[in-house]
Amino acid sequence: MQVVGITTQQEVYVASRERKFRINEILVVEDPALNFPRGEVVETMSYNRLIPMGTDKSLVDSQVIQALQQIGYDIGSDEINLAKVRLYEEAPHPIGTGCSVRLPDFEEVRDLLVTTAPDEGMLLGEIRGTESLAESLSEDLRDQVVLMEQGDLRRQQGVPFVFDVKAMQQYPHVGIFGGSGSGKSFGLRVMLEELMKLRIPTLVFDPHFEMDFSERVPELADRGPSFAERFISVQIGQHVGISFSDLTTRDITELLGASGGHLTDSMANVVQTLHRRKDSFTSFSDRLNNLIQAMEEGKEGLKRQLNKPDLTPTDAARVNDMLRLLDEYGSLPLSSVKGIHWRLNRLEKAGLFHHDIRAIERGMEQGKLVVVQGSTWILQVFATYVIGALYRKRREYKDARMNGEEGRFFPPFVIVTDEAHNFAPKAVDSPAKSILKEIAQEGRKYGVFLFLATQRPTLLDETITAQLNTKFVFRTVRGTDIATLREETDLTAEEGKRLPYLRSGDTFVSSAVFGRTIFIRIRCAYTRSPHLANPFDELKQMAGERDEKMLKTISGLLPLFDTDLVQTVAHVNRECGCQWDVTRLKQELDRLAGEGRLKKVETPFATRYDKC
Amino acid sequence: MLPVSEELKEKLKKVNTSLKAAYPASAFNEQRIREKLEQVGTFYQIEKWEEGKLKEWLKGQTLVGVDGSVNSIRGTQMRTLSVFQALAKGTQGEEKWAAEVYTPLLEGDGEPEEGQEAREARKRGAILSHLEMEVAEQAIAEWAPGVVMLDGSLLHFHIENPNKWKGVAQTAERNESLLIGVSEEIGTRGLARELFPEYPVWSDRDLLYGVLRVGEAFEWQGWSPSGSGMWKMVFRPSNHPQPIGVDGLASQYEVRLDLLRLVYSLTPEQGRGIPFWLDIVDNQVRVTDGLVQMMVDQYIDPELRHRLLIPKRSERVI
Repeated sequence: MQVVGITTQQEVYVASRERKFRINEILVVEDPALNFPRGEVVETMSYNRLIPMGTDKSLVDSQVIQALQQIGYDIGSDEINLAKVRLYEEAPHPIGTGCSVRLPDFEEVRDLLVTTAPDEGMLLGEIRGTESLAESLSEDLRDQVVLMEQGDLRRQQGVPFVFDVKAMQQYPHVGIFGGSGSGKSFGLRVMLEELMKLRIPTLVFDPHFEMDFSERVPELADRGPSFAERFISVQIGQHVGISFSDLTTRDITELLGASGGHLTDSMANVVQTLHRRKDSFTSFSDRLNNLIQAMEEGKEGLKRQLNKPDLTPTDAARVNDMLRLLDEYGSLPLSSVKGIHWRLNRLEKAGLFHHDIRAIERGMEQGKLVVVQGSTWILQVFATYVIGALYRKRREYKDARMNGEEGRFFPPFVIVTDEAHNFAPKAVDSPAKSILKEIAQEGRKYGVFLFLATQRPTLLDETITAQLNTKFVFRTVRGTDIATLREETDLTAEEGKRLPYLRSGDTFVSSAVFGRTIFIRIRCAYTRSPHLANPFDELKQMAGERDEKMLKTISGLLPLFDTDLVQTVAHVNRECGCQWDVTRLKQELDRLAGEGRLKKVETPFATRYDKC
Repeated sequence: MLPVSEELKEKLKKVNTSLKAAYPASAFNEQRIREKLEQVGTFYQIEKWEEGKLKEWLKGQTLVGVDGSVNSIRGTQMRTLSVFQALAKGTQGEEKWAAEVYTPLLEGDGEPEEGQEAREARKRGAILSHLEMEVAEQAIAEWAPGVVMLDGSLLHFHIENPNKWKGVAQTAERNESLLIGVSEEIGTRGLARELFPEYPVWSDRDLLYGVLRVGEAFEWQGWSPSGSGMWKMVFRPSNHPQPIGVDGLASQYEVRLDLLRLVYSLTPEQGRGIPFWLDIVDNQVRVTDGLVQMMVDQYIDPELRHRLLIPKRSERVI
């Protein structure tokens, strides 16, 4: 390997006849004057001057090449491999052309690739292009990860990629970007497994109900810790919720805003006017309810009720109460009051106010990963509240310590969410955005960090994007997203061009921790998502099972005449647990006959179904 | 638009008319020419070697391509320096190189004579073919290859240096290496004179253009007079309508059709009709302008270079 052509202080071309260069591998240029600079292969080419390309040159047909091969000439031996190598550090003057180039030993480049020990950091995958370093790899880094390549598991062949969590204090927050099928969700799963390994309290919002870590990948059963007791998963409305009386008026305004689009000024005014501190859900909801009733009845109507002879004292008190409400708040527009009431009920029906977040707090204090599940809209509402509450707890503790007080300990923690652009969209207001923005900007002071994943980096709030000091960029096809990513990371033009073609699970890591972009393959996760089964396979399997059961049920009754179907349908319904009528049963029998699993014989008198 | 003078345009049009008169399209009737050719010589339809057969025929021996190249620095005819290179390259990786440098500045008494320039050109030709024969002879003696394919006609080597050529031919015969010369251009005019004495300006090349079918060869005894010790044929191994000239040793006349099959098998169909192996050798041996310039800059003192070699015209500003 040799430096050829024109060199600059940042880039050189290296040519080799024998060796095919690998993208992203590290090479050492033996230029003693520049203290043996190191560089990374950023583009590879290979050409054969005897098989030219171009419209002006004639093509050499394969027959001729074959004839040459027969007489002992291998045209491939005239192939020349070229690599564009970018130096890690700019040299003071250009590298000498003609310098020889070699592959490094691991120790020579350790500082460029590994910054922490595998059990101290997050073991996320293998650095691509480091296969040549495997031989000289130090003992502590060998056989750390297993990778999935084209459907097969393989052992680690290069240097493992270990993300130094501690470096987040200096360079906080992580972004994970990539389109569907790019391996982003798997990447996120692997990160969560590693957070659990390190017992870092983590709060995960899971709109897809996929973050479950109890099912292990059988081939990797002996690797990684057991996750079963390191995570809990809670559902909004079933296990956790918001304790209404803890909410301030502002919280409620935001919550109601999140539950169905932005609040109008007059709706916000209704909340501000009607809500009182320490209101319980019932007291607030009753107040709204009574006000609506009062406004609908009107002052006259209420007074008429008071004059009714059969009025009980309780009723009288209630009507007087309503009159008072009407006096006080009668000027509020009825439609806004109704709107607020409707929204409040929607939250209530989702079970949001039936529980509190104590389960989450406990999980975090135990250093667990807490998965919060719920549909997207309620998750947004809840996330706003829970992030705010936990962040406040952590901040209060740290602030108390700063002021020399004891304070109640709340641990530092990590917040993880997929579809982050829903939580903090660019240009549009969203309830969770302001708290996420605050954490993005100030979280590291308190030890609160974000791991945000999204398919659409362009739609994520820019202030937050700018604060993500480490970005994992998976395959991205959309032009605008590629442009955004190029702007927000140090991805080069060549790397940008590769983005649409990355294999699932391959990702660029653009990190301030390393000060450059590293190309890695995410390791195989130890656990798997509960929804891995293809829904179409499921459909086929279910249909097959049902048919089997039905055939088995009627096999004892064969031959069946269409006149018998009334009795048969009851039997089938009982055995197979379905609710068919005779027509449906006949349709199913005809279908099975059409598929050749039953024989159907039509006579002038009746139709008979029989075994094949 | 290019600034072309009216006068030039007129003159070119006139030349076109004269050419038309000298080479009338009606005379180039393919069918008529083929009939006439059939009367004096023989057509052969050549087949490519089938897979595996070629190897069998060569008995595992190698094929050697021989080519040479010369290039001079830009300068006047007499104030120049030429670099020569010749290469014999075997298909199994063997290579023989020879090189030479020549400058007329060190020859003669310095007085320019009549016809000096033409003599210089001939001299360069002689040096080049000498080098080519040298590497060919060495290659044959050392490797005893199955076939040696030379770029250019064998007859040309014979004329250039009969003694040297005799040595090459004898070495080949002794080692049972088959010799074949492949020339891009057919330089003879004998056939045209014989068939169309009424068009004295015609040459064989003009006559044969597009007449042969792809894979067809034509043999005429008139090209191989008994004294030369050679056989010669024309052959169209690719889609290009202009056939190539092929010649070999009379002593190896029997296998001439096999040699044509080899040429055919090695020639790209879309190409200009030269076996690819010769193109590969040519690519490697070619002395490019850059190479000459670089070597001269490197090894000739600048003072001498400027005093003797560099013409003023190379310093034109536009």
